[in-house]
Amino acid sequence: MKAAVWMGKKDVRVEEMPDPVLLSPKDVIVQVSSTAICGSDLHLYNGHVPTMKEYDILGHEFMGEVVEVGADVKQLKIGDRVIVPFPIACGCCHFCSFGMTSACDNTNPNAGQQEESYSVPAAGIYGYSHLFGGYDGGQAEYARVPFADANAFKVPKGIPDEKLLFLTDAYPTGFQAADQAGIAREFTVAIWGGGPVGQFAAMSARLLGAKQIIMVDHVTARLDLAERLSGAERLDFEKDTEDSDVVEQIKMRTGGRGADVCIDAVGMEGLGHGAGAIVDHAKTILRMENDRPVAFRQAIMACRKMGVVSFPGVYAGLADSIPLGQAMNKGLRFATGQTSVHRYLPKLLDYILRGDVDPSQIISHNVPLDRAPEMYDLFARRDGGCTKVVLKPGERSAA
Amino acid sequence: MAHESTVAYSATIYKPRQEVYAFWRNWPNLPRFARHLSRVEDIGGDRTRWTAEGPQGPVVWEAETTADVPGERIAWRSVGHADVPNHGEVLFKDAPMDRGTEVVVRLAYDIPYGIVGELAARATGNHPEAEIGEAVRRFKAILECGEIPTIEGQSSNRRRGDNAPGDPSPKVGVR
Repeated sequence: MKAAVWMGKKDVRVEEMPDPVLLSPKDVIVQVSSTAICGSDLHLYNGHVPTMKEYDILGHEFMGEVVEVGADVKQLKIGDRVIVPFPIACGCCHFCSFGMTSACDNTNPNAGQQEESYSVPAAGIYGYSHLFGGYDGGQAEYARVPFADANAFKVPKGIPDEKLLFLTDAYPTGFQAADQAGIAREFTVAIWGGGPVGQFAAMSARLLGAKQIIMVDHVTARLDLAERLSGAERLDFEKDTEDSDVVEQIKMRTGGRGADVCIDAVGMEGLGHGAGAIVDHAKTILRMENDRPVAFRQAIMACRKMGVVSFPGVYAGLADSIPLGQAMNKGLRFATGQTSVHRYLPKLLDYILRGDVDPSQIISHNVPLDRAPEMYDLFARRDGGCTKVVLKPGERSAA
Repeated sequence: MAHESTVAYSATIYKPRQEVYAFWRNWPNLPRFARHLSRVEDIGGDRTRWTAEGPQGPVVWEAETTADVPGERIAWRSVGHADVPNHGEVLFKDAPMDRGTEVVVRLAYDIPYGIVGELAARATGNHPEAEIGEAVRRFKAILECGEIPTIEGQSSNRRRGDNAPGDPSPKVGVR
């Protein structure tokens, strides 16, 4: 089969790979109809996540049709149309039993290494480095889904893939970011990063009753999108902050209080202005720091007293100069984590079927899988027109 | 001279205490989760016979069960001539808030040739701290999931040729 594989920093190729096979009677094999590149795949692409190996198959957002079923699978049959949440759940441990699937105790076969880094293991993730289990991903013609009864979620036929695909990660991640912040009616929510997660966080915040949503980004197309999809106010950190900084701008727009909820949907590769950002950049190059928490710092500083900072943005290691004193004295609460996608699926599928949310609106590129290398490059350069790339393994580029 | 080394690991297993105890107490189960063991036999009385794969071939020793309190504690100690004299125990207790069973495993063994022997063992990839964690996590996965999650045999492993030795090579082909 064809698959997008990681071959080194900024080196993604589409290679001929052996087909996946059932490795356990609880597995199924899915023929992938659509798969997407996630912003967090860029952390792998840019070489910020260690423990990648050559020929690792990328991709943790994928859906398709079940084509092979293990003997112990009870809920699925050949021909079922499924979406596959990015964290791999065993379905049996205490965390999975209570819907906290991203905290699964069992699915990371490389748990020992993760214990050394994070003190406890968490769920395996498809195509997301050997620290997260080394599972092959879904940017491929076929993918193996372990513990399939827990991890392949049946979806109805007759709705395009494009409306359902982001249920695997970006949509629930944006939703969890808003949901875990306890948004109440008339809240002001400031969001850093107008990528897919930020856009879904904005749409979700609106659905949960937020009155004012401020999107912080510097890419015009992303600010436009947030304005159009969620009625968000724009805060362009390159254009709107000549006389003040982002934090000052947010205070000016909220009667000096700051935002009730701040969502950092940027994570460890944040861009920004000023001395802090320059020092971060130097430190990451020198490997003294691997996370550049520009957005996280601003989120703390722009949050009102007793507010909530929610950070779906991915951080991997250590971060410097976090204003903890400010966070403590303002009485902030933090909410974060990889998304327990499984628990949100019935509710979010319902929003889509009712027409409350149309996730396909964030797609900027919809191309055959063999164009993956070019799409990684485009997305990594944060090219203005590139918000979300969907790859089609079943299609071929015109020669 | 010999040098005693100890390792310990703790985990919470989402299964009732008697079930967790019973699985460990059934000695032949041990090689299913302790990778260095190839066989453990119950040879009657309080005796068990253990076989591990060493660099020079199989290593065999016998142990006596020194404590067996159902649902609470199992302990054992190697007897007679053992290449690596060792003793160990497993403690079981109810975890709070219906989270299953807390397990504590402790192992102690005399490394031949003291510190030098221990360093040599590490140099050959035998890290007791890592192995005990691996074994307890596998014990937990078998009890909770009925299997040990794996990636051995998946597409990229076959492409790289990095399946574990002895791992059955799944069929390779184009669908």
